[in-house]
Amino acid sequence: MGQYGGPPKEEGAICGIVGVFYKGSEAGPVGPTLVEMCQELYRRGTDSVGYAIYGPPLPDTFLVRVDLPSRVAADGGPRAVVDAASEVTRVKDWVLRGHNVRLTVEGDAEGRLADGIEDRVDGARVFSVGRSMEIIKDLGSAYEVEKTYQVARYEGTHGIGHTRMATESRVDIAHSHPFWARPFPDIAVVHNGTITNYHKLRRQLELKGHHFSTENDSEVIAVYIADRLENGDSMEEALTASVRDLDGTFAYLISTRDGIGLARDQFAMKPLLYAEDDELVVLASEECAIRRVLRDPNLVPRELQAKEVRWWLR
Amino acid sequence: MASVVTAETTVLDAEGLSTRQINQALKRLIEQGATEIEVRNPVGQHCLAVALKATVTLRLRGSVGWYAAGMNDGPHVVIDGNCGWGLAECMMAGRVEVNGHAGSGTSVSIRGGLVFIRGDTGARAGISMKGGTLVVAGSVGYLSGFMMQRGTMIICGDAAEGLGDSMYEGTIYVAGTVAALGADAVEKDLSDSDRALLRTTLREFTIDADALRFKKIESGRRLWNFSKKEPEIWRDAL
Repeated sequence: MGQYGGPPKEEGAICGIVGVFYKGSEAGPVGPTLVEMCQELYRRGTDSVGYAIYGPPLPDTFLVRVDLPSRVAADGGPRAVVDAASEVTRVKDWVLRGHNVRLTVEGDAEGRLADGIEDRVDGARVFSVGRSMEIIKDLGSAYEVEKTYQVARYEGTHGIGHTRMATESRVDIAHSHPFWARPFPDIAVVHNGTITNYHKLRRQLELKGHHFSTENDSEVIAVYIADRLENGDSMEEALTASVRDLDGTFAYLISTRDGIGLARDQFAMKPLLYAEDDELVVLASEECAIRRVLRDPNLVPRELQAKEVRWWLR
Repeated sequence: MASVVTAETTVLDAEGLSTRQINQALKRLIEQGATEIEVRNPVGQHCLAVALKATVTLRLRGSVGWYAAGMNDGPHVVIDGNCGWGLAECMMAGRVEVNGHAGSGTSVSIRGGLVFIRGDTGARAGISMKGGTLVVAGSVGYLSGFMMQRGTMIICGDAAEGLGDSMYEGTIYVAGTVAALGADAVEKDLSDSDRALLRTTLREFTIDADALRFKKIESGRRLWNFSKKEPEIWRDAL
């Protein structure tokens, strides 16, 4: 692995996605692995970087992350977020880090916590709620984000990451990946591609009562999969259905508290590879990212074929 | 930069070097007369060993990224690992051997030479080939051979959907299962000369052509010219 603070690579044109899954019950160095892979893929997307990192579920505890605009953060915003959360649940702890307020709370008020905070605090965006999951994301390269959030200190069972080149929605933290599948705790997605039937799928999901936080097409994948899982689909069934129902180009990783699933579109337009041994699975848009963290020459990465889905669950 | 010249092989250690530094070093070594070069630690870097016009053997010890060995005219490139998409794109002449798997778009638009993949390829292998030979010991992905114009593809494993879609000319041999032929691709009988070609081509890769049951795929030539009397052909093709 390289040293933090190294120079970024040249500009590129496309997003990069990465993931790691430890097959055993022991936690592994998920944070540093994701950081190094995202930095390797920085040239694929220079706008922002984000991670969803998982560990064993916390008893009676949810971790929440809220993005605040600078003007709100400087004007008592963090305290207002804590007060708003306290209206619906007990806040155990909180800290302001970078642009994020990180809350430790007793429950998510059956999915009402995020709405409660956003309704009461102007400009607040809740982008992570989970008992196992914590999403960390901000603008800049993996090493730049690392300086503020120390993601490399995180251990966990699995995680996904993304380095973004914005094409169709704003460059800000809310529109950065991973996207939390609101309001389902512990489900997130990272995506490389474009979902061309986004508006149609979004309307269908909104008619079912789901709420979207952004105008980003990738968010619809997270909510779509979470909705199917909620209604009894297995991960395999949900992934297979997504290849049929999502139109456009995509390679995406969906993460839940149990593991990671992935799918590739029918034209195989966006790259996605995985390497696997008895202990772990590493996934990335390019083999150089896999090689950056796994130097074992005997580990042979495989590229997913068109319409292929895979999943690793514990 | 660590390059070690021995009696026969020049070794270039790519650890810590950028793509440009590696390619410049290769060109410099070739100019200095090296005829056998071994590159160590390529660690998946993109665009290595490209635009070379020389009689030289390059051995890349490890996986490489996208667009390796593209636009070459003459070199013999061996990759001991995987490669990303766009391998040997637009190659004019020479030879590329991959002792692993290859990504999408392998040997797109080559005009000559030979590309051999020991494992599988991703989607769109051999599309728009204008000559040369692509041999895949494993299987090929979606839409391989699309709009092929000349040359030969030999696939020892299976082919995903859309094989040979809209091909103009050229020949595809496939030994395994074809999920679905593409528009206007048709199966034809194998001739004795086809069998001889398969035997000769595969022998050097220690593959017994007679142990495989090859099918021959060529263009049905119904898309060569538009005919108002056959609109259904175009509807299906498009």
